[in-house]
Amino acid sequence: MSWDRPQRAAGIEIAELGRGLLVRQAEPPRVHQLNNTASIVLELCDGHHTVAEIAGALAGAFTLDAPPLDEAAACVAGLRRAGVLAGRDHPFDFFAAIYCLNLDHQPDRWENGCRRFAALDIAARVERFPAISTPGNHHVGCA
Amino acid sequence: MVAEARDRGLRNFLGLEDDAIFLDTTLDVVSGALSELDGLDWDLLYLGGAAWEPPVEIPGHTALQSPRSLACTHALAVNHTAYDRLLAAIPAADGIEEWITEHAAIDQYLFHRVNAGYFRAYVLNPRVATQAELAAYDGLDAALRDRYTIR
Repeated sequence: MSWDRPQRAAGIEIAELGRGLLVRQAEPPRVHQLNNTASIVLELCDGHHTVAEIAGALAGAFTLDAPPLDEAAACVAGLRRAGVLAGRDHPFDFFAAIYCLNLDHQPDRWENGCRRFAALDIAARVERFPAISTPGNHHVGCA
Repeated sequence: MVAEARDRGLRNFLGLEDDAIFLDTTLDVVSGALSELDGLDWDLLYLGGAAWEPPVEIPGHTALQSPRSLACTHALAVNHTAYDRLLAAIPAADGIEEWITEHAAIDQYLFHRVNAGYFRAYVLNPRVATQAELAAYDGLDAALRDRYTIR
């Protein structure tokens, strides 16, 4: 699937700083100073890596136990909002926002959901929405 | 979600539940359905649901159908045209218990309101999102159960 292999926007200039990258974009004219994590993410946004693969690379770079999919997706989303990454032609872009309902005490379900969102290449866009926990009525918070 | 979408000025949003699983051709089906949706007035777009009655075919459309007796909200898009009506009908979190007692669940409320024509709703054909229990239940999404591979 190639729906969401984020790619740097055309016309940006990248320079290396001591601790990260400096990105200059022409339109609109802006300069972004990226931290180490965002710099790694941007370097991997070459149109070939998925968000899940980028998360895997971050896990390797920082010796993490698990790929930080949430953080990678959020970083990609932030870079996209900033105009550093190119837009994309993905059918879910039709939706102005994508929320996922999840109970605070069920992080496993959120993690599983994130895996599916990554498979659909929408992980960068899905925002977790905390459900209401009502043990006496399973309908509340489920729908 | 609806209140936040309204407050953010979103033209629409897609709400997913964290146990939604997806069809192998989800992106292609959604792409086709959105092409067919172009030019239609809509309030709700079901990407999945428990169809207790078969959806109705729409002449000239293949990827969109009219839902009948459709329950569940594991993958439901809401257009801005429905925000005010939903917020007027459904209380905020601190008042939801009493409302649920009367209406059973939000999906049941929508089930009846869509059947009554209060909301202009469409459902994707095939339904690209389901839940494990719906895929296991004969008569609901069981026919495509082997194709819900994004799980």
